[in-house]
Amino acid sequence: MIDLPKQAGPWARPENPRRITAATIFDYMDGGGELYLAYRFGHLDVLEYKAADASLGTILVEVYQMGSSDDAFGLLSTDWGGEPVALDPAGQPQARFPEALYGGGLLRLRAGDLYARVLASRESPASREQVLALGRAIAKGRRGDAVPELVSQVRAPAGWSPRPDRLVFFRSHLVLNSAYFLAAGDVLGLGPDVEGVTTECRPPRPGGRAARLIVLRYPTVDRAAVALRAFREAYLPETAKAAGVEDEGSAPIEEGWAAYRRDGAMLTIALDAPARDAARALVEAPGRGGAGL
Amino acid sequence: MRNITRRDFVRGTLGSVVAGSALTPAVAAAACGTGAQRPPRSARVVLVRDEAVLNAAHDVDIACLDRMLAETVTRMTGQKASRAAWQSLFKPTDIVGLVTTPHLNPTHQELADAVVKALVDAGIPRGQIVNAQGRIDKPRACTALIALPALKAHWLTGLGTVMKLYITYSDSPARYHNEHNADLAETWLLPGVKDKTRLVLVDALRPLCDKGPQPDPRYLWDYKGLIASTDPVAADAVGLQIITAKRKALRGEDWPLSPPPLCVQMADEKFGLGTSRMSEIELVRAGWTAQALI
Repeated sequence: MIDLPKQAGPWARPENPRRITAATIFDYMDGGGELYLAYRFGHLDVLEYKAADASLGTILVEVYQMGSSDDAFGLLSTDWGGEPVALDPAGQPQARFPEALYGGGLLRLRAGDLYARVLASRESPASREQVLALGRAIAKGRRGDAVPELVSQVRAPAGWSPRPDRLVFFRSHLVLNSAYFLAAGDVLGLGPDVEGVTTECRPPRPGGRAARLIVLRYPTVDRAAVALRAFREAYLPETAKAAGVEDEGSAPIEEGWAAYRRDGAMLTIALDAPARDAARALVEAPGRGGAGL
Repeated sequence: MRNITRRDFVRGTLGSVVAGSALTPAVAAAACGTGAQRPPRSARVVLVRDEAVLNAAHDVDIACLDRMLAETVTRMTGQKASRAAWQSLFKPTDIVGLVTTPHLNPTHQELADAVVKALVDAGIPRGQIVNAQGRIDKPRACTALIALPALKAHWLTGLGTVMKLYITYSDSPARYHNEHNADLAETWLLPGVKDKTRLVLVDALRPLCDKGPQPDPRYLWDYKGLIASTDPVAADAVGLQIITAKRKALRGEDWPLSPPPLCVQMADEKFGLGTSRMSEIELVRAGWTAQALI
């Protein structure tokens, strides 16, 4: 457990945190634990700071020990909304992929392999000050600016703009579906050892249809090949029957065009593109060094 | 049943996806029509709002809530007085189970308390009003149920309100968080549950419009409403309209729930539990009208 101050303004914490594990997370948050288990979750420590004056409300601190900084990034990436906050008092908040976000009394942050939520039940200037101070204490000595390497593979062809504020790093179809509903079940062979990034890409023409980009990296080439076959059968059955090259293709779908391309253990999928050429260009961009984020 | 995909959803062919699925005998018997071929239905949904029910700190004004509740049940039943309205729904011999949302933006306890008070006033013995949230033995012990969910989005099922309320009655609740979330209406048709819900009363005092899972205060807002119906699907459909409109207002652009709340449409088209079509819903409004979102 990281060392947090016993006192935060008028709020004081208990001596010891409550330790939540994968086995007990549903007792702690029935209906919510799946999000953390969808990443590589270690454990969660919970502390509730209380004030002698109950009208001030409480400050709840949840510190999630994740398997890697990528997992902590993934949890924060599920919502980039809120006010970016610099956890280094002398620093400026990062404009892209901030380390911490504040809004409505809630601070969410990533610091190395930690993800944390610090929530004041009653927001006030005083509670905000203490929430931010606790966030800084959690982050002390840990880097909060790490970005998964896979994010660098998010590239777009000329004129297209991948949106950093819609980018989600995921390992599970549950998280993918919360950003972009693809299918009720897992049609991409996802899991803790698979990395995925999805975002919306703005088209060259203002007001035009945005496309969806999904970039996946599997632990082996075979896993990627199996995943592509499963995706084609479940989502693009018309391509599963077509003869020809299996590792790349395109098809019209209800919301424009879809394309896919496998390159070794990497699989890139574009959906909802306005035309076949655009869909193909989107999946080819990573290999051709298209514009990144 | 094959995997429901985004393409099915966009095409509007969910009915055809499930038409060939293997329903359990009990559910198949309960289903009274599927897809576009189903017979017409109608439902009444009452929406009552009062600006004074929450203060700036979101605390509930009990007296105001009591008035809202009386307004809601009288408009729901067509009775002139609250006591008569409750008596038209429940008898003194009933064992009435209250089913609230227990976690993650729960039903306001003040609302559950107000319902108990109104039932006792209507002649239901206090000892016959029980908490029916939990395992299936709870509703089995009741002769009548009141569904009292909180209005909220849910990150796994899109909407986590009426259809999701009875999830713990299933032997395997977790399966509804995955591929089978579209089938949540099954839980309303389980033996011991089916046909017992006489009133759906949605706590829309302070809804949650984004998926969570844990409530994020940026997505909570003081809507200050109660939504009531005897049709659980229609109540969810109205709540869904409000949540969807709030999300659009927040972002200034369409911000559809993801995953889409397939369970609402499927409750109608696959399970015949009620209507999800706004064209078949008579919406009766009373009280505060600002930012009604519907």
